[in-house]
Amino acid sequence: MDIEALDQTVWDAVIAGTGFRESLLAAALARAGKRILHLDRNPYYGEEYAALSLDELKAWTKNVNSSHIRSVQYRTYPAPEGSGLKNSRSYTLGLSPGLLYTGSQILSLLVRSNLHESLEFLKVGGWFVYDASDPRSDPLKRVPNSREDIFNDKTLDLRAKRVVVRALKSIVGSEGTNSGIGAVSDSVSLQQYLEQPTFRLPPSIVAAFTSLTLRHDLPNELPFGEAEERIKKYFDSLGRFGAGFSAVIGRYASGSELVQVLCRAAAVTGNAIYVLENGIVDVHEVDSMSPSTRALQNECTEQNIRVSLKSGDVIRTRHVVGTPSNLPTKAPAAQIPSDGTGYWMSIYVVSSSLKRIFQTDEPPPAAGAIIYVPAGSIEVDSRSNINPIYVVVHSSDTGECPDGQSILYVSMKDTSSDGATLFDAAVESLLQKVASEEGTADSPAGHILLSVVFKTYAGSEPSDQFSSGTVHLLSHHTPTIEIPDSLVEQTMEIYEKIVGSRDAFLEKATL
Amino acid sequence: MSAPERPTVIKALLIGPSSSGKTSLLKRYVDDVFEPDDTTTTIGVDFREKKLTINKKLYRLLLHDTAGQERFRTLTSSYYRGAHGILLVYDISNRDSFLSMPRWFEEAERFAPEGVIKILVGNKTDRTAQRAVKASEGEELAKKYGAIHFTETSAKTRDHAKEPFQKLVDVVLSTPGALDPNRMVARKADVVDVSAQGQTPGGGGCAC
Repeated sequence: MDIEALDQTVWDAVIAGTGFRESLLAAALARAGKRILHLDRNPYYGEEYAALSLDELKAWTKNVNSSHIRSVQYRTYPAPEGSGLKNSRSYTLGLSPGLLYTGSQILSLLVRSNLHESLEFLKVGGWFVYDASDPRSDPLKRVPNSREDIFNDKTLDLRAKRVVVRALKSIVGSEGTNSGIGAVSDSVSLQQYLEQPTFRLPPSIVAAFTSLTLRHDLPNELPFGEAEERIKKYFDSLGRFGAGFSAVIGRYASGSELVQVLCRAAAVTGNAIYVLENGIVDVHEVDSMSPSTRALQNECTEQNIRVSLKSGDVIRTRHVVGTPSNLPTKAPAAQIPSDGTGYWMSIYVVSSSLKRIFQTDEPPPAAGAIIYVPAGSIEVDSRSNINPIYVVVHSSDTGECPDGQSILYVSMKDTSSDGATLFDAAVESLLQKVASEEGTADSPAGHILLSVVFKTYAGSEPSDQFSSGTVHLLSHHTPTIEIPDSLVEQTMEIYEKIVGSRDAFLEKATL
Repeated sequence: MSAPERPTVIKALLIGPSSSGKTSLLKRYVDDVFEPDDTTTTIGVDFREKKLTINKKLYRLLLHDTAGQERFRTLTSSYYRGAHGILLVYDISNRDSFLSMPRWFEEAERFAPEGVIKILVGNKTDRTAQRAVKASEGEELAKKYGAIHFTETSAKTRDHAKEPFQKLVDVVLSTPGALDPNRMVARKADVVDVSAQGQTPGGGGCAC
């Protein structure tokens, strides 16, 4: 009887897929009183934002049903008795955990709509550049985020310190002046900007600035304008909810939990129905009439789309929303660029709590940290990383792994067909150099317990949505370290088309 | 470490098949009302709250309902986070409802924190003529799946309607470790209050 009920109503929107934008849209529309049928073809929520147990993750790697995710590998590693992987359920591993800047639009939207109460946010404390060039010094260099930090930095001479502060001022522009630097041309890269005669900053400082952009590009390929905006966002977020940090992660793989909270918020209104392991197989737009009759129809009666579901149901709806992989559309499928450029993504479980990198000057302790590994720092078989590698570390406080272990989400933009070897080497050298110092205590130096590595090509497509008026196509998910505010904008665009305005987006429904 | 006057939070969930009367039970317990015509599957709020004083100590019992997501068995795993107790509710006048319970126990086992207190409830005892499940069957099922208590209720007639909630609180409070705040919910000190007002944006910033 339940399944039959799906066709007893005309839905305002059928949304296929439970990624971040789809779930945000579902919650906003449901709160605005729209009747929503929200589907996901998987038996779990989140799609590329899903958080999975070990067993689920293993199953996922064997059956990735997205055309833009390739070369998936799942590997476990031998471990000494007692320090190995725990049971499957003790892990909640995110396919795109995603951090949020404290100044992000998403976070303020969550607070305004009261959804933050269903989430627990933890601090992303350490922001490091990996530099193992000097074997006698700590390979993790903390990125300075205040003038004080810069002046306490023992590796810089006084002149360099002054210049760094000046460069920072010119980028962040906190006093409205640009320190005498005129308009920067569009073609200037971040590296060129920082190496210009006025600054002539050393590579270590260029790396520090680059690490704040959370972009996978080389500093000499990163347009200054874009980098400037990213760095500003970092500093604008700094200190909002406490000293010394600019970003937070939600417990239980961040983006994944966020998506589930949004879906529950949609369901709680009573306006949204959730069905998993179901999807859209066909969309029949009512377009057989002449344009004039159609216009007339729009005014007089409702025009519905008929949608066939995988379950065999045929339902009626006013709008259909989804990414190309969830809709049977003629939109371009994920295309793999000819040069093979894509993002290598991975999840590593390691047998060390990596305590040192979560230490902060002020409580609360951090549960997340960022390590930026500059290009050329990791070498395996005379091949090194041609682009920077980002390592996002989550502690067991996130609830994603048992105590005494941590999760490393490692990513890199690359054309190669083998990212796993470089990632393994990167994680191993981090463990050797970071965990070994802790190893002398009660736990031994950490080792890798599990790795899941895959390459995604999703960033290579046009990001604009093309809609037919009633069928709203979202661009493919793009892997990013931050859950970007641009996703809210994309969601609002569709919301506006369905509701007619953006007012009160996601605000509490009046019941 | 936490302020002593802050009431202790107990998080409880209701799960079970559609139309077993979960929301009615909840409303009967929290508001002492029963709405016979109210067949909607949702209550429109994330959770209901009941303040309790037990042995002069203040507790906030937060009761989360399924929001209709039980209908297609699409409850989010986040729904189960931090739960101290779960009421599993079926309809004694509907055999299928009872037969679906093993799956609900299994789902709770999969997603709820280890050691969560489970209570099995056979609801709608007012429907004597339509009874399709014997009380002894419920009793047996509860034993089989490690539910700590079994009771039959009627939200309509109030028959035992408060008992499962009271029992849940009793057991949570009397079981060592069942309320351990570190077990699932992050230590509050670690959690960043993102709704905090009055912080200067960029206050810890650099170039000032």
